[in-house]
Amino acid sequence: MSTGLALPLGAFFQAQPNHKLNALYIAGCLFAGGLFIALLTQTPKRFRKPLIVSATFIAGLYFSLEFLLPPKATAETVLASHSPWNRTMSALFGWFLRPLASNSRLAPDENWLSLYLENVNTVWQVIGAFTFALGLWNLIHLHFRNVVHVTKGAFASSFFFLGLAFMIFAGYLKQFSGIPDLFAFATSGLFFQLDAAMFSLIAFFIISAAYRAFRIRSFEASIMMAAALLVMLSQIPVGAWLTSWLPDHGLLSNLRIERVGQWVLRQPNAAAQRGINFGLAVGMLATGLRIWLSLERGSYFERDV
Amino acid sequence: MKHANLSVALIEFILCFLILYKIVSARRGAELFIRKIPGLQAIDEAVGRATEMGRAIFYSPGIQGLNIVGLQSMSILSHILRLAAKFRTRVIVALADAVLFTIAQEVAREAYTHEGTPELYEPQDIQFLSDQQFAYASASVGVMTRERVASCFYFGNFFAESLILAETGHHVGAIQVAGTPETAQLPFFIAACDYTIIGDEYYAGSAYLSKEPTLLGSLVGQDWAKLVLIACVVLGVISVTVAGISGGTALGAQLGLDRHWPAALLKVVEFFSLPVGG
Repeated sequence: MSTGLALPLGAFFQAQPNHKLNALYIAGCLFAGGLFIALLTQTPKRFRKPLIVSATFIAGLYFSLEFLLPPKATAETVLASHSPWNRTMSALFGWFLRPLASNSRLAPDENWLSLYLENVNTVWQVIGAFTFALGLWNLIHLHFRNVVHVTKGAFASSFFFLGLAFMIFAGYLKQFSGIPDLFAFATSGLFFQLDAAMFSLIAFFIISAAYRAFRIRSFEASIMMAAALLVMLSQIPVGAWLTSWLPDHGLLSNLRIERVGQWVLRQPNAAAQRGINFGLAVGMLATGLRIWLSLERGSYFERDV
Repeated sequence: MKHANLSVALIEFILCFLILYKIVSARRGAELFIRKIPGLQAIDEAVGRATEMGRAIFYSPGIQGLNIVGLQSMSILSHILRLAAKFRTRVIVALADAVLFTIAQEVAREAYTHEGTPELYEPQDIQFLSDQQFAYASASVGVMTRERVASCFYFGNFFAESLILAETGHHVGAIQVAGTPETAQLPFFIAACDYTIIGDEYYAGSAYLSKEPTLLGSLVGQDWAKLVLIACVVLGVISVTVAGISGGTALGAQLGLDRHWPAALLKVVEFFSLPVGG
């Protein structure tokens, strides 16, 4: 490999100033990852499921304990306090709390397990990175087939390859030739603008969805319509003007439209949302518990791996 | 909250115990009652409609990656794929996350094999569109419009793209069923879809559809857990209100509440407002 090509390639892997070492790290990670996947594939079938069950359980146990175990600040508070409750806690769990409180490596909101949180999350990101290549491969495969077979979407599919090549070229140019203009054009000039155009469609869709939602077809729809009208009026100056003849203070001031609108938002709406959130939290807890203890059934959870 | 305080840990333990207890009971053969969830029942109707019309079904698990919500979405996808495989109906799955994409491929392969129609599995129908929010929305809209899909399912985490997808589905005349734990997106789905699954019904999906005892037990356990939480809320509201009246107002003092009530109630208030690790 000529020096001319080797330098840009070395810089291609660059994440820190010491690029040679980083390239080595990446190569090592790829090798270790590949080896791990190969070993997992070669593992006899009867061991695969217990392996996955064990890994899931250990990972779940780590996150549960990290959340449930008290942080350093709590240990310090409990040990320093003279209340009967805290004295009992100190007597019962002093063996655990004292080393935690005296550990200088820990921040006040950390316990021992918190120290590894970042590393554990990095492992998850690395696993995710391996699958990204599969996603890209699927895109290439899908659009390549459209282009080769000249299907209905062939023209649009060709733009995928055009866009991919253009972005790689622009990125490469910015990174190694110090010409940022093309990359800026591709991102700020094209990508962000297209993104914003797509986002702006929501404004039109909201109108058509609201029209259908606000058609009074039932008693519930009427309540929704009335509540929506109140909230909308409370947000605009005309709404405030409508009830401006009511006093600013006293009992009657509660009937001013801006206050009624705020009341709808802050009281019934917030209560309903919290109710839904309670249900969601319990549902998430139950699903998480099933997955953690490998009790989940159906779809891919029961199949031989 | 980075770490649990004592009351959170205690409540969490009680909830976990209830759920696990009901799972064990269900596995031992206990009879469990599950109420009807119209949104989940509509799945069969939507698949049937696509079959009658001879058009494809569109499925979106949202734009987030592999988490509890995503896994639940894959469970529902598995049910839809099996149902569609029975009727030899095409299902297009649009994904925005590479990890979920690989799982969806496995789920699809397994579903078709399970129904004895592995030849119907078309890898190109499980599509990774983009990991960018609006690029994904744009590509999904393209798929829905080109294929003139007859039914759309949205199960997962959705954000601003929810209305774009649901309104496009409505414009192509598809019957739409949605479910998301994102409360901010629920109004959009309710306005634009035919059926919307709200709140914890989303997590009831796999249990409701599979009727698997372990999952049904978990579902009943969830209901018991919710009862505990409701009791906590009621108790908390009463105790804080009474403690507030008795300890903090003239009326409380006038009624003599400050002498007779607070001791026990303040203990309850203390429990609900226990400082971290206190």
